[in-house]
Amino acid sequence: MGKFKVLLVDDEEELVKALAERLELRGIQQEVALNGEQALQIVQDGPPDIMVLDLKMPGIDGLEVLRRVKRAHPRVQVIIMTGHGSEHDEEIARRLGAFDYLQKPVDISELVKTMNRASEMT
Amino acid sequence: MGRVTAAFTHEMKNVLAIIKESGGLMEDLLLMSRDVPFPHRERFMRALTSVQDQVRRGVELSSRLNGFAHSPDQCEAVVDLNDIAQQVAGLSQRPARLKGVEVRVDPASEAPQLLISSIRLQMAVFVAMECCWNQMSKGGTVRLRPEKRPGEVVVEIFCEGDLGERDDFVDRVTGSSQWEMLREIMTGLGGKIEWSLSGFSFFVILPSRGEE
Repeated sequence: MGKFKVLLVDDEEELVKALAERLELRGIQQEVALNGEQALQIVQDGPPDIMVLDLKMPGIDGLEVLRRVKRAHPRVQVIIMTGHGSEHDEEIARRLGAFDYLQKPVDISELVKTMNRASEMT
Repeated sequence: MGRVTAAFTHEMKNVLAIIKESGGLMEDLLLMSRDVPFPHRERFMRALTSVQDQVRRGVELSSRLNGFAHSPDQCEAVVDLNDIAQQVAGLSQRPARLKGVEVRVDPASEAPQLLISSIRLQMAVFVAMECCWNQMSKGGTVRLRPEKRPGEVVVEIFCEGDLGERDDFVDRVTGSSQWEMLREIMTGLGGKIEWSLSGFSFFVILPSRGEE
């Protein structure tokens, strides 16, 4: 497993904390943000290698976070993980530079594989 | 309605994701402590497997509803009748099962397409099936058969099973409140309903517009 730092961004606190614990058990360093503003602050202070980002959040939504992150830190690889899932959203996300677009609930092994692939691009 | 349902399915997927991850975390911890004696380990793992199976089931149900939710609410779009039939059949599994009836789709080899409100068409097909399964005994099947004809597109609603006498079945179906609802929907769509000359089926018929 490659060494990379992941920022998990989702307003569902229970989800993101359970996911963070599972990644920690797999030796993956992670940090958690519960909204877009928090995520952007963390990225500004110390960009992660990979961001796992929900789309629908109160305040700044995921697409806007994606847009700003890719503009300021293009090497951060962003994996969208959403329960919303329209083809239209996926198209926009990929055009904005998302590395991949996954539907919740995601299988942990699929997420880790995707992260490993993304880490090769950082 | 589509927007409301989309919001609901989004919430459902978050709930399912939380259950999946929490259950997954429990599995991880159990696997990590496999050298520690724990008399109920197998029962825990079986229960956690059941949790994950039901999460998968919930995801499938949510996805079917999501497909319906992302159909345009009011506006017309070119729709594929095979896709519509599959979508409605998916959404109908539960209510049909409660009636002891199975729903199947026999897709057309050449996909019939038309310009129509997807949601209103799905409502028509659903109500058409409801007309049937409300009058059927348990163990029957309702089959959806999309078809392209010159100048029109058709969905045949074909009933199989212990249906009794044909004339009696037709009377019961056409005398139902769902049939009246279906007639209203079809009138609104500019279409019509016709019974087959024999057999236990009728046709939901729409003029073809905007085919590709």
